[in-house]
Amino acid sequence: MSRKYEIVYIFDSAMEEAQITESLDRFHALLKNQDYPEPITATNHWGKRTLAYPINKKEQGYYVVAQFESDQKLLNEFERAIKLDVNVLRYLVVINEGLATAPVIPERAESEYDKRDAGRPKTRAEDAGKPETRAEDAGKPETPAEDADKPETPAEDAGKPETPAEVAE
Amino acid sequence: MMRRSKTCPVCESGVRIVDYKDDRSLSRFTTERGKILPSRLSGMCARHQRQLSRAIKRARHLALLPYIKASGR
Repeated sequence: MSRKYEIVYIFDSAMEEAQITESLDRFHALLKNQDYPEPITATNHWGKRTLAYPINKKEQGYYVVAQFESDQKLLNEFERAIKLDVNVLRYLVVINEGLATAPVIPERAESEYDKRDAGRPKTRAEDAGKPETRAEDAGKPETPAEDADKPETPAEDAGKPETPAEVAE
Repeated sequence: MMRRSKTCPVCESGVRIVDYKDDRSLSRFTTERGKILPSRLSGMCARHQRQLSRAIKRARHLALLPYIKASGR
């Protein structure tokens, strides 16, 4: 059965750009057959990124996202080839749910979820600045009284009311 | 400290599907140590909480998010 998939590769960042393109071509050639002459619908090179934790003692990886159409039989062979390649630090194949392949630009100041909160700036900075508070709350869920005492809570509340009201419309 | 809002932050932002590649947005729903924030605190609706937890787990696998965040960093 044919399905749309999305794959994220993490290549060794020591590789040359040309080598990466070559590997990608090799992998993607495995998806090609008479049913799918052009299996790849989109590719996006994110480039080098710092990994959140080291993989194979490497701190950086080269990310590539691709979307393609395939069926289960081809996919098995495709995944096997990727697994055998030592230059692929990690990969993930998931069903394409219609998401964009674009990376979230690291320089972007605010994420999509924060745009709506424009009315109450600083909230995020506050969060970052108070690790203790947050850790405490995660550990002790049943302490609403403590929350009320905290200085930033009223500020947040003040910014809040109009937002849910807007949504209710 | 995130206080429970009445509405789900993902529904509010108009995002249909939570993207596992959007590590910046996802990190907003993790604790300082990188744990997934419970919906009790984030105000997330059940559907989006499920999507979120899956997205965070995928992002962790891809080293976009840490499994455990070091306190020093």
